[in-house]
Amino acid sequence: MKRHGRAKILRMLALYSKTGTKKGFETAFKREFGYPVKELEGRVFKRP
Amino acid sequence: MPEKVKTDLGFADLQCRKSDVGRISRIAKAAYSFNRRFFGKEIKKPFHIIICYSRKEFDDIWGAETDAWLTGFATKTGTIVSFRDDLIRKYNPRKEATLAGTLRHEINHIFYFQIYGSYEPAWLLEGLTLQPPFEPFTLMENDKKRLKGPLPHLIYSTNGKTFFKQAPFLYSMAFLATRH
Repeated sequence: MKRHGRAKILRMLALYSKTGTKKGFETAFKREFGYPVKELEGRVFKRP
Repeated sequence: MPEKVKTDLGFADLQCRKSDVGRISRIAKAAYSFNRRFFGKEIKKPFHIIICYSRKEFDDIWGAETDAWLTGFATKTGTIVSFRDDLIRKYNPRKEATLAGTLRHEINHIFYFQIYGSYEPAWLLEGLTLQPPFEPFTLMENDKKRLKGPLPHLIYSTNGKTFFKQAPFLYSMAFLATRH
């Protein structure tokens, strides 16, 4: 997340707040950062 | 035990002992300004800051017995509860913990809730405040051991009943995910 920067994270949160649902968060995350949140988990925790 | 007084800070009311009002007001104002700059906006709804002087008082507000490491929290109704500095140093296993860091952290949650209408996802909510310059956070040996075992996914929701089971993973995973 750090490399995305504060502005991008806040923009993603603003997008997420329109629905406030988990699905909405996943959609907002992918739209703003270009990859699914699951991929972030994989990158950070090195899961298969 | 000295009585507490209520002080209007403009953005919040502060309840603490009279002898602490000046010092804690300055810390709270700085923490509020810090978050206003972080989010780039003001929040409209005033909130409450309660400083506790005993674990019993803290637990009474939480509504149950809390784990010993917990030294501050924010509720959905807009109340921040924290110990005074000396008790934060006594209870918090992280040596770098301070009242200033705790208030920056908890006020961030209040901004987050008022702007985005949610305390979710919990990992991002917590993770945002575990990065400098909010409060210096480092993984402790226990965290590192835990992270070698089977991990749950990034935690989306917490509540009062599950919080203490989730917390050992929540903070370390949130820290790593937002640092990435």
